[in-house]
Amino acid sequence: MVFLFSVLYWVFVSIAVIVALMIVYHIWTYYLNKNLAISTIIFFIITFLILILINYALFSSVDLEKLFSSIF
Amino acid sequence: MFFQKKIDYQHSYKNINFKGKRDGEEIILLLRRHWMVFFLRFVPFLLLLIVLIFFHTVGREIFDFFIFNIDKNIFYLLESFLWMFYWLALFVVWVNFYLDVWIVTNNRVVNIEQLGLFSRHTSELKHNKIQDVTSEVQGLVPTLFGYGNVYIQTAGNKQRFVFKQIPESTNTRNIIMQLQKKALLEEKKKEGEILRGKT
Repeated sequence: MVFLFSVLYWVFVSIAVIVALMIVYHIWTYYLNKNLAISTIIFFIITFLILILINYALFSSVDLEKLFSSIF
Repeated sequence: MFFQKKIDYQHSYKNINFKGKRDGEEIILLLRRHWMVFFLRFVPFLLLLIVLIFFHTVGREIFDFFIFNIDKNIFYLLESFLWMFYWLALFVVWVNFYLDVWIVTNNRVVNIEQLGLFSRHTSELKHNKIQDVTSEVQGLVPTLFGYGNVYIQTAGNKQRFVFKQIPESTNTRNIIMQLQKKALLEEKKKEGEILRGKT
């Protein structure tokens, strides 16, 4: 169960990262205003990285053994 | 009308580039949907933001009361996931808005439409193939904020070019009509030169 939860977590994060990469790719490839595209990408990546880091910090602070023993 | 912003058509688009731009091609108009359209798409996200803030403040109590006693860390992990996907969804909406562009250059009209993250539709039309241009402003919000659609009827096929929800649709129509007249005049001039054997 703990293993499954970890796999599920990484699947979710991978989906988020793939979608984020697609967004960056689109802005980058089809830009019309280079400066705006670059600043948008930087702003997006920084904020997204902060969110991922918070997410990872929270995930690592969760005691999975305790959680599953309390539920099941 | 109120809230309407005048567009400076004399604005220089020299720094603007797009895929497939030809040498010596000059951008006359670069149009995106009106900002109000983006705002209206943003409204559900504002509501969702309120829900997320509400979830942050009283979510744990609700969980404790109705479902089961949730661990503090698990709750914040769930919340951070929601924020992550909220952020992504917001950017998808922004990308869809920003990459829908209609460009009028000195010899053609380019329609670039982003249909989703993986789907993109690009078409172009030469000014001399334009038959008829119609502008349309429909509804209270578009009338107040001064945005609408412009339909361009082509000579070759039945398909119409549509500039969706662009600001100052009437002015855009006039500009396209002027460019079409100019293109037709040049075409006739060239034909005349050929007939007179000048080329």
